[in-house]
Amino acid sequence: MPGSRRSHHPPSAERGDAVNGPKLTDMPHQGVKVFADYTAPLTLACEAVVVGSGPGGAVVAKELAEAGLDVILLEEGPPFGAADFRQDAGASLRRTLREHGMRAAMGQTYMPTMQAVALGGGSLINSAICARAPAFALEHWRERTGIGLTRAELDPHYEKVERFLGVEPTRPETLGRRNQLFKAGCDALGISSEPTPRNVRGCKGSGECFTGCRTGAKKSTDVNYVPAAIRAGARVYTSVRAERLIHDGRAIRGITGHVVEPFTGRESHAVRITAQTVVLAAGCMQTPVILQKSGLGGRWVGDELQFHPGLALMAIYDEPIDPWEGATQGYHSLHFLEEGVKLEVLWAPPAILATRLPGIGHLYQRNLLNFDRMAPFDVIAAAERSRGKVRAPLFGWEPRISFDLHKDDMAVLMRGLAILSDISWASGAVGVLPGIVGLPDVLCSKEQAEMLRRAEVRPRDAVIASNHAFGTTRMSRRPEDGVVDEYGRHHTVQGLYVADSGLFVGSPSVNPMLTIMALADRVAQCIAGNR
Amino acid sequence: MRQNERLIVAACADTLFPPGGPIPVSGTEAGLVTYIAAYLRKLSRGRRLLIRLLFLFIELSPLVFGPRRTLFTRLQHDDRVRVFEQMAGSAMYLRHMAVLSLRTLMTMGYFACPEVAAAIIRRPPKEVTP
Ligand SMILES: Cc1cc2nc3c(=O)[nH]c(=O)nc-3n(C[C@H](O)[C@H](O)[C@H](O)COP(=O)(O)OP(=O)(O)OC[C@H]3O[C@@H](n4cnc5c(N)ncnc54)[C@H](O)[C@@H]3O)c2cc1C
Ligand code: SF4
Repeated sequence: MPGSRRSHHPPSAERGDAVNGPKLTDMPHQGVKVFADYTAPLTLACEAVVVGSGPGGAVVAKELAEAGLDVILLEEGPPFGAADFRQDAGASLRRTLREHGMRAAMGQTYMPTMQAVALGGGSLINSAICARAPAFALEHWRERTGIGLTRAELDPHYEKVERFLGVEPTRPETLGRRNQLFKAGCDALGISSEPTPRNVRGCKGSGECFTGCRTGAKKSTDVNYVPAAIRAGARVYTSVRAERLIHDGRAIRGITGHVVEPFTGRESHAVRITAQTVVLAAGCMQTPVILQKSGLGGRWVGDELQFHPGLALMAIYDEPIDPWEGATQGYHSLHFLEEGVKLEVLWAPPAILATRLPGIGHLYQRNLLNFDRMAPFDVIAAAERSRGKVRAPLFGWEPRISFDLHKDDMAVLMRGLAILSDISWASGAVGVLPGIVGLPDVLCSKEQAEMLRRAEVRPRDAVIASNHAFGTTRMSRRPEDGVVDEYGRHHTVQGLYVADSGLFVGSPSVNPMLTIMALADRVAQCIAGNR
Repeated sequence: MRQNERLIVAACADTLFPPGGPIPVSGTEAGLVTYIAAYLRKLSRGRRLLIRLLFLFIELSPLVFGPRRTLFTRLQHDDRVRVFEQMAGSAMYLRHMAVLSLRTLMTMGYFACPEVAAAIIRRPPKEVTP
């Protein structure tokens, strides 16, 4: 077995940063190589190297290993066990996210966007919502770049991934008041809503998904797909950053990179891996950087960056609802999906959400004391008219990201915000914090809240954030229209594949993880079939 | 963190979370200066520089935008509150974002203080066990 059985404790980059790993009774990361394991340059060979262990890469690694390929999975971040998660929002952001959680897309507005750097990628810190893209969304993809992908074709992949992850609707006993109130508001207005399907087992409704699931209920890829890949013989190397592809313009030969220290990113040993197949699943922000730095930055690489921009409000109730109780994002509404609007219950570390409460000084403190009566709800928009770009930096590896939110997409977000306000009032709210510059801090009645429908709000007037990013290496039938074909095959370099959210040709209309995994499963099937 | 930066952070901390308020722990009492210093130490050089620039921006802000033409740390509490309020409502995006970023940083540190967390999260969720 090529994978090491050594302890997976990387040395502490700084005191307090040690990744302790899970208890001995629960060793999902056994066999994973970590920073402490590297004592010399790494020179390896395999049949297929997969870059990135998030929803895309982990699926490909497992499927290829199970198909009998000799697989190496590279991950830049370290593994995190239950004991490594931090409840302090600042520490958590700094440890698990790229650019210490301060990554932002710059355009006419500054839009924070988070990507994980950890074994499991985004699945480690996401809300575990697993939703299938509706047929109409995939139809738009087909129209845009001529690919032959249909929902019927993707369904078997969705089913397979859902079964492996154990996706199930959020259980009633874990909802908590925050999720229940959203449902009550939707019911009162005749808006359809449902418990979110999630990849969890035995969820305790702790609302801590964002800082890492300490109960082990969340089935992120580091605890299922990666261990399954290892069981099938894959070698997994964390704290290794893939940097440049080895190729001659026609065929791939492998990849080079460096070992990097967890949390500081300091480079140590050089890494060189030769392989006939390279699958890039570093996420739609990092994969274009690798391609561009490898001299493969063609017409579409890094272009067509799309987001699901999100906007949130706080509903205020007249009695405590303890919003920190209940599954992180346990309820959502797909009612307005065809209009490009998805409505959700929101939760994040309390300190981050509390930033939205108005006031300075004693007024801010008073509002903080009322936090137990508030529930945050959010809208995400498909934002099909808005675009951005990812570009490799001159020095270093963090991409330059730009994004402009089209005014019509901003209007869609505002429409969603107005519906969330309706849901709040219908669920018994006594006030709403819209969080928009130029509007009152608190809207005190449903009538007053009607201003959300009339207000001309610019992106700069709102706090817009997005953690759903895609489209930077899109699929297309013809090489002139995209980077890869509908099986993730690079249009010009043989043996090179992409299997992350960069594949998307447009918005999936819902949260992207499940679609990334279904597509990755399809990519893996294609690679295994081509042997 | 340099001494002048500690003074700026302390001034910001007690402007956002003053003593004698409904939460009986001020920003400095909550350990915000230590929290921010530790936070900065663990950031990459580039990110640290950005946050340092943010502190400098706040310190110099009254010289340009008032309410009195002096450094932020030299203002009385009420004037400091006015500086933040004006920034929060400012049409200048940079000023608006600066105060929002500062608020996020400070609020994360404030919540990291157990007494503050206990005052806000009065009925904490049951302790989760793996
Ligand atoms: C807070 C948050 C909540 C979310 N909630 C949901 C949700 O509930 N449902 C949902 O569907 N989606 C959700 N998302 C989005 C979802 O998590 C992402 O879309 C998804 O993780 C993207 O998968 P990916 O495989 O494309 O990339 P990633 O998950 O980003 O994985 C890429 C991996 O590659 C590694 N990597 C990058 N560069 C290199 C390199 N050069 N060398 C080696 N490794 C590298 C990264 O460290 C990372 O681990 C959320 C995202 C966030 C941030
Ligand atoms: S809500 Fe809590 S217990 Fe449930 S999956 Fe998220 S972090 Fe784990």
